[in-house]
Amino acid sequence: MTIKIFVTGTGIISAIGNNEREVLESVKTGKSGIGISKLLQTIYSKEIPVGEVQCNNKELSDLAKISNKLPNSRTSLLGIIAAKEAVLNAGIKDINEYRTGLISATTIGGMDKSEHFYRNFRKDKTKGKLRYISTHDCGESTQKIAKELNIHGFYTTINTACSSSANAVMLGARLIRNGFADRIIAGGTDALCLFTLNGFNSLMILDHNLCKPFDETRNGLNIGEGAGYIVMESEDCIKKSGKLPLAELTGYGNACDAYHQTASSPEGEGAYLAMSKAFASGDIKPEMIDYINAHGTGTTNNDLSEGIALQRIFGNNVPYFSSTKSATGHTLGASGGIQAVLSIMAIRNKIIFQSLNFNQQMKELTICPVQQRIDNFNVKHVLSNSFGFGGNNTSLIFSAV
Amino acid sequence: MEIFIKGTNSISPAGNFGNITHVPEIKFIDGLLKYYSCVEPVYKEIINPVLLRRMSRTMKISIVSAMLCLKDAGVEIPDAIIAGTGMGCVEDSDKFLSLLIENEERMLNPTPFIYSTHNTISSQIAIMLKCHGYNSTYAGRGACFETSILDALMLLSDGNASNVLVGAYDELIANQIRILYRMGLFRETKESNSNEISGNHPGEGAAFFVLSAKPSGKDYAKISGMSVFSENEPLSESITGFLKKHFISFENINSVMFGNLHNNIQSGFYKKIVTLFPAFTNLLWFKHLCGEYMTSSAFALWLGANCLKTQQIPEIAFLRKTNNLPAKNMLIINNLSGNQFAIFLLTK
Repeated sequence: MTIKIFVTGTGIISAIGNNEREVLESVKTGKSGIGISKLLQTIYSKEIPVGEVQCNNKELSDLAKISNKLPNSRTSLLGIIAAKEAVLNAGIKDINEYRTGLISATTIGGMDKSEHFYRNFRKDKTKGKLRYISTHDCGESTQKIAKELNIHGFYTTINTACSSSANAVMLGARLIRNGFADRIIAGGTDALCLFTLNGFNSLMILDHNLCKPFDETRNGLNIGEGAGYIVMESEDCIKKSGKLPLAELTGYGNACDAYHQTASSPEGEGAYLAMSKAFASGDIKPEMIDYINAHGTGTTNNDLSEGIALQRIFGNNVPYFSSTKSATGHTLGASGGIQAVLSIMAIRNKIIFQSLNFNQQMKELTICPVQQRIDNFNVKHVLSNSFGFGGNNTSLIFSAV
Repeated sequence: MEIFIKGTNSISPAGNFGNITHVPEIKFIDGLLKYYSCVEPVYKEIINPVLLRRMSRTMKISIVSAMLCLKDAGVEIPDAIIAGTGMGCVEDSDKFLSLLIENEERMLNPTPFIYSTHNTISSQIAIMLKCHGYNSTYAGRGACFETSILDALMLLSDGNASNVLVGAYDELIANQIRILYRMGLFRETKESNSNEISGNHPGEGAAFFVLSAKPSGKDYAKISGMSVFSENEPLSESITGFLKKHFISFENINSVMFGNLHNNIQSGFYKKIVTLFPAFTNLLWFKHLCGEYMTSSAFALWLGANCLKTQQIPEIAFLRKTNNLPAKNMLIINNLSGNQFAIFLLTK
């Protein structure tokens, strides 16, 4: 029999709140975190709205309860805050009591610090502060988070672009099922930086207004920042501790669209396969899904491709779906982790979240996202989609316990 | 669980396995910073020149290595593709970052951004092969290649895949070499002792493997065990425990390959490990053949797999040659950046 994977803790920081309580309040009220950037120093701050966490690095250091003396990348700070919240909520006292590992995802690591370094280094190769560039690689934030959580066991870093932290959750579950770990903290973190803002801008896929996922007139995504982590434990762990889990991870699937480096296939093949594999991996069938937290970036290409894939999987009975990226922005490597936390929030609070800024039905689709929050809805099973550059697509299923 | 290495390929500073007779040529940046650079094949003989034109250097090295590996294994399309990389596609990252600062965020060409993401290689291979299977990329310091192997092992043991393409890649660019030296990770000066050979230069390379749960009859070797340890765990006990778990004694290890940076092993991390092995165990090393980089374990695994298949160990790889027994069981122990170390058990 397959070992059950239980979620016992969740932690989140994003443009709509610095912790779970604040984020829940925001999604209940339909608050959007997208706006003019106050902290990111860019020439586009008035033109291109972003989903920025409303704390400077000093304030984040305080929230993370760490010293502000060492140059921690914003990615590390966000990751430490959300991962610590997840561990705290899971009621873990001694993290090394069981074999505990950390799988953290990030796409840009310490790029914010690398940008500082390169300003001086570019002109004079003997210049630029090395303590900035030393945060550059993706594993740096993972190592810092592991240290802050005092994890003695295994840790590793995933970067499959925008599906990174969904893959972190999936790997975590597989490590537990295969007996390599008893408990895994998995998720992801990414901070806003010039590199990604300008990268997506050069691809002309950033909406200069609020993004409109699954809308006929959608015009691109809003880039955001944040972190989301969940604590997963084996059935045995739960039995020993007597802990009440928050949810169960009941399915996961990873597939490659294998179509184009930056575009999704018109028939949504990768998305279709990732969702199909998630259903095939466990006992949950498509008709059991109550809510889909869609990838829904708001780009012309993604929403069409994902929408078609949803119609292929669910036929005429596509469940309620929405894109919480309309509130948080697209947090890249963190988005799968943030969506995992939101999916569990939907289950625990019996809420189906609204998609913001939707006005006009897409011509190519027969479906549209939820526009008004639905309360007191018995959300038993949630599908969460995360798709990335290169066609790295992953779907997760969370269920009520 | 045992997994079989059905095929492998590496593009590295050392060149082909048959050519490993000497330390690779040392190159210089700014006239004094030493580094190792890959011996690259004639790409247009292997891959469509139209595709080549759009590829960065690391894409060429990695994708061609992966294609040659699949060919070696006789596998057209693998069931899954997994890659590990320490620094990712550095050339494109450096290019986009420099330009965005130089141009003050204006008039940016998206191409280097598109290919700067770490998962470029695994996804480009998938796109070229139209491979819709499982696809993932592990990145950054620490056990990124080892996690790729672990991921493949789980796919194979779950029965979700028959052939998994697993590999690792890291490229070096001039700016990175300058930064690495400035960080004090490498020495600019000549070696103080002329007898000392150093592997302590920045290096690079790609190595790919086709792994399978079933023997093919022409496998290179079996990966009989692999573990990653953090530095918090006691070193000797970790290695002893690893061997015990795999029912093998120190006496049964013919050769052990270390990730040390100098041929003087009587100092640093490996000093304590050497004493665990009996005097007749061959001691090997590899970093003088590929240089130091975050995924050098993949080069070591390629080297070890070739030694077991050919039953020949290149003379240049010996730190201590004390037996001529047929190579049967080999351990690879590599100290990874990020306070972790990894052990591989390779068997014939």
